[in-house]
Amino acid sequence: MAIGQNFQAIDRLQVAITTEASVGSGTKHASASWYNLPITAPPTINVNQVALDTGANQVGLYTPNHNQMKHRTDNPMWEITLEVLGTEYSLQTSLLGGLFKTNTEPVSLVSGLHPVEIRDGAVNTYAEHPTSVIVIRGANFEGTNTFDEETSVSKDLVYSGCVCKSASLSHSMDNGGLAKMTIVFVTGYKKGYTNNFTDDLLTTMVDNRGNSGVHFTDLSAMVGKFQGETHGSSNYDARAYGYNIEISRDVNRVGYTQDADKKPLAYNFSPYSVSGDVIVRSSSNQANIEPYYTNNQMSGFYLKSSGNYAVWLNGLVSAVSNDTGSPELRNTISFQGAGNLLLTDSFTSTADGGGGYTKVTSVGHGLSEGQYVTINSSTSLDGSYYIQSVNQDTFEVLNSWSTSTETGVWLLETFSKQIVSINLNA
Amino acid sequence: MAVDTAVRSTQDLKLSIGTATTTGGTTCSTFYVLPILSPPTILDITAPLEEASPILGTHTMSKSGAFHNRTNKMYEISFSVLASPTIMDLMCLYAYEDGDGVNNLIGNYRPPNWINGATATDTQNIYIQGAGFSENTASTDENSDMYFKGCVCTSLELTHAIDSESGKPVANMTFVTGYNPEYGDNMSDGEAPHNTAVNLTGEGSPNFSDWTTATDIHSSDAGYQIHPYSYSLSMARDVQRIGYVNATDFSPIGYTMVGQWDVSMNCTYKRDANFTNLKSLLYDSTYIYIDMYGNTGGNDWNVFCYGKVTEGGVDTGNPELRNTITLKGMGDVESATAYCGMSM
Repeated sequence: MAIGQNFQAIDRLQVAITTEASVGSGTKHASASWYNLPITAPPTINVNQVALDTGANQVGLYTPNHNQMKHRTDNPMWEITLEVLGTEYSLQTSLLGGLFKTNTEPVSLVSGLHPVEIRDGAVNTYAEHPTSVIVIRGANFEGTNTFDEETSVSKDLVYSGCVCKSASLSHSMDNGGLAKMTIVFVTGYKKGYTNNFTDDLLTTMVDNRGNSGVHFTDLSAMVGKFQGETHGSSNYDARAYGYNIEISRDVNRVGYTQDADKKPLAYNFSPYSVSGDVIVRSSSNQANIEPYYTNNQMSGFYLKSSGNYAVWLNGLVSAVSNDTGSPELRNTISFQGAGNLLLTDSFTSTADGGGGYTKVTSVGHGLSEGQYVTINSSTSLDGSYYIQSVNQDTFEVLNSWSTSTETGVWLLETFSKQIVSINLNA
Repeated sequence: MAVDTAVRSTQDLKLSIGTATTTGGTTCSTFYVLPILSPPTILDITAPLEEASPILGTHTMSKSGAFHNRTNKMYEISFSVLASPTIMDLMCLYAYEDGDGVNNLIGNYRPPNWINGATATDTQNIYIQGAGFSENTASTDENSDMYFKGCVCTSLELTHAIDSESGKPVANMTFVTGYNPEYGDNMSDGEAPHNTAVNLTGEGSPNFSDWTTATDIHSSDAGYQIHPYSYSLSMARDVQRIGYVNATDFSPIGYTMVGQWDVSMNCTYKRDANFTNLKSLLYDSTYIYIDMYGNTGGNDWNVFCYGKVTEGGVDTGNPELRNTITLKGMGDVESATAYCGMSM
């Protein structure tokens, strides 16, 4: 056989993704669409490579023994990294919905989230986007560097049973002022071949490559106790130069089927790790932000446009640094994303907090300054409040005490339950 | 052999171009002799000399450590040609495969497939008469001409100014090839296929002074009309070679287009009251167009580009103030909508 004369041009690679019908099936869910992604770098292309295990050296032997080596086909997890523009398409739930187990935009990581159960062959619930199918156009070695249909030539690679492992979002003046996302999927299923992408046979394909995005200069920022300040105070306004958010988890495969495919029996997950940072100009509002560097209270950052764009991270400050590499001093404030253990609980008494506030006693409530709660089932306190003066078993709400103790229930509102919320739409 | 007294005159150079019937092959459908305005690039076969790491303990370079690498050579041939309707149809066809009517570069453009030896019409062969190194006797095979096979257009720049080239447009073209330059004398001898070549003289080339009031920026409303002095439209891309077929002539396996078309258009026009409508376009991210229209001898011509402004300046080098606007061409990547093009 002579040297093959075909080749696959890097610049012709395209990536499409959809929600999978059943785990590992490689077929589109009936409720899903295919999305042609605006990738900004070639995706990872895996070719069923596996680890080679090597046994201990035998005493008395000085050369490796091939009988002590084994390709581990029972436990591979292949990673596929996609770098994509953070335009409005990014919120397609088929892309990030699986990471957050949600079908609702904006996509959010909510306190108390329990990951979806994923077992080989199980029918997926579309709204949870458990697994995805990723097709890379023009990545197979049989490609002949043409975009044209060539019946029976499988130019594309198919990855089934893909689970989103991590996503990072960054947005600054770089990259033309548009947001960028790096999303990592993993799969324990071997790659397959198709010519459906090349031959335009992926049904209900939505081309997202020309979607518009929001320029960084269109954003305003708040850092620190931003939640309470949405009432109107500008004490936490900041001039931001960029931000980053990282959400990741480990996805582990469990076992393998007793056949040639050695498919994973299931996946399981580690807890989420969430972090982020924002770079801001050092200004007098730092005086209001600084307490959160040390006071164990929830804070975070929030960037929004005058339109739909809204991205925030709730958590605690983990590091602060001063950047002297620019004409003016800048601060990089890093956060460890965090949420609440309790999303609702009862309170057992109320008292006068002074200054028009009512002090609410709820033992071990776990709430944090500035979080937004709704109170129900009380005599006179029902309503929504940004809580203040938070102690271990009490918090205060801006409503004059009724002069008699009350009981009731508080619920953490959506805004405060979300550790991360992402809406990049214009 | 004594020193040869013959000379090769640069004024004698002629260039003809034709679309090859196979990529990297010598056969072309029709050759066109172009009215070039300056000598084209003439390149002999060369290869970069690559050097191995120096050997410790030695203080002179080892002759064994240097090697001509012929696996990745790309030759670049440039020429300037008088732009006429027929010629620009050809040049646009070569650059982005649209050679009739309005020659449009579209938003969802895909490059063709450049595969060595494939039957295709996406590469050109360029002959340069008189570029060889021997005199032509018309009786024996000589090396009086040069030709370049498997050429792909990587840039097209159309410039047109009222006070340059007597108001005629000029196209500056660049082609690349991974195939070795070769020598011959068919063009000098007028042998096939050059005996049937079409001589293009620039007939029908438009005059800049024939621009019409349809020339405008961003809108056809009267408040956006401009009085132009010059414009240029530039399209450029990177085409790279893939590997090599064998270690004999090191022909490329194919080519691939890397990245996107880099398109820009600029226009110099009289600074006047209509600038009140145009000045915000310099900074507010508006998606606009520059549209040049003219009619020469009853024939309409048009050059246009859609995009966003990258630069706006005021030229004080003339009796009256002039504005220059430059925009970067961009389109809708999901549709076949034209975002720049021309009709001469």
